[in-house]
Amino acid sequence: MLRYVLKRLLLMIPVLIGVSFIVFTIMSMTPGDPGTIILGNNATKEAVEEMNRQLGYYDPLLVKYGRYLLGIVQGDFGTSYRSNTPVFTEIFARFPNTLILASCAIVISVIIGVPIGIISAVKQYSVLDYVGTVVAMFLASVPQFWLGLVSLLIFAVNLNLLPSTGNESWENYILPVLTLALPCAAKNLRLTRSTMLETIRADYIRTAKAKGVPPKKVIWKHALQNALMPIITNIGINFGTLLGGTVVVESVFGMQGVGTLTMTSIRMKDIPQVMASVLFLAFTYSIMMLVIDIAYAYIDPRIKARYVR
Amino acid sequence: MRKNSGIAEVWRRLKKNKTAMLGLAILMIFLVFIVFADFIADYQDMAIAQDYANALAAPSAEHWFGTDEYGRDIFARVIHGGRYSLLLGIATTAVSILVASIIGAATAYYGGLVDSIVMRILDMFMGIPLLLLAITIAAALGSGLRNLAIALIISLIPSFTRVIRSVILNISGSDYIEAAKAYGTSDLRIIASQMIPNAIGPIIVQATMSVANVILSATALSYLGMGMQPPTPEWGAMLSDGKEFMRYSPYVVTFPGLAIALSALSLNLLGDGLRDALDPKLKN
Repeated sequence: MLRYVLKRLLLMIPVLIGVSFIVFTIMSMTPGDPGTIILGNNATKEAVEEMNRQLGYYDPLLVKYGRYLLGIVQGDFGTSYRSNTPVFTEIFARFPNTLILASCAIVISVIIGVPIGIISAVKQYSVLDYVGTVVAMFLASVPQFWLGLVSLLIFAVNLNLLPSTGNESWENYILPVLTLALPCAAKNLRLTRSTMLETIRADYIRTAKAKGVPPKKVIWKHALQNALMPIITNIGINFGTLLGGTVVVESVFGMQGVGTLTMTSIRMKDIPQVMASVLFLAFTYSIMMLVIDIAYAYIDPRIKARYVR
Repeated sequence: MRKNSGIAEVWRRLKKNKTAMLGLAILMIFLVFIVFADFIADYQDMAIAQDYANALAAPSAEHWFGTDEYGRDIFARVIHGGRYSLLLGIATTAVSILVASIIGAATAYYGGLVDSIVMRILDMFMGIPLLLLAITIAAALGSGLRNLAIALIISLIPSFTRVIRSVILNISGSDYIEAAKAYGTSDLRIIASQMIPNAIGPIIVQATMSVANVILSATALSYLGMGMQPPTPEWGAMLSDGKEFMRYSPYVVTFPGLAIALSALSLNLLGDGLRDALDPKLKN
């Protein structure tokens, strides 16, 4: 098992290098030069050019990328053009916010989505099943920024129950977390329902029922354990969507997270900051995927057998 | 002959599915409004021309959805905006699927080194959350319809290629392809009469569902200021413009948001129904 984890961690390196190359290439196509960004529009042309030369702006793409990679190997991810501080200072300052948003949203989406999905499948065509399916269908189709705006309008502006923007107290997190969580909960509900419906009809469930296993145990132990795999895969995929979604939700609610940091850096063409932020989010995403794969091994004895020898 | 009866069979099963038909109906209504948008409300007069005397008027008989902060008719802007949001979703999905089918089919067919290299490259693209990748590309290319489309297409291709490759791998390993090969059927004939008809179902389902997601992503990009720019009546851009006025004029954000939600909903309902109709396990 440990060997597997180590192997997966090593395999992450080429992927992250690839991610860095892709983002580096894309960002180098953006108009605007670093000299102007650092010195501002009022600087003389000579000073800007001198700054650009110092930063190696006129070198070919591959040379620039090679230098960037060399820096990373030595633990230097560069300094932000905008704030002139090491890029990770700002990322680490803001990451807790994004992490709280994303992880709370994941937990809530599972707590809401999975149990309702199971009950909907067990009591197919019941009132709860219909209501759940319709609501889930709607939530899966609503754009997150609109959900955010509307909830802001209702709960913060009209009812005045919750604060609207900022992130000073825990109350600030309620609306953003729910905005992120509800569409994911809807996806979890739909997937849980459909996989449970498939599993419930399987032969081994009929066998279990026939030999007199109590119905509750059939559902929660025999059926759920077999239906869990796709549900867990979906949670991993959701996490990727959530990391992207935090960009939108953070900007709707004016929160200081990695998402808004990435957005501002992209707008300001702050290339070192963009690179570091995207790499950091890609790294978080890969770690989450690894955790999911390890979770598989614990849930599915067939997969566990392959690694534990 | 066989292919025709297959389509008729799928349609027959789809017709029985009430929610799928509801989705299809909503989608058709949207498409009719979008196609005839010019006849219903003139683009320049109603959706673009500013009329400050009428700014932020509440919904009425004259302005069904009210007017925005520049006095433009929101109903006219919503139906014209469909051209950008809904049609952009359909077009980018179609192009991405086409490219992904070529890459996916080629890698699945050749296998070996080509397959591993292409798949590793796709892994790298998929390591970046989709919306983030699209934002980065859109920022590099600049705003505008064409650049937004390119950004979305590049971001969509990797995951589509994966799905299509696995569908094709799945089919080429199946018994009926083996049987056709043993029978001495030519490669071209196998591809035309076995592979394509069998692969098309899952791909159509994937496409329908993803148009909904593309609409959500495209409007999110415009909302963040990375896609279409004002005064273009794109739904996401309309929400971005309107959010400052939503406190006293909620209809400014209500109707464009509903348009996004309803069009995505209709595509999701239709996609669900298509999946069931195409699933041979659920035949009876």
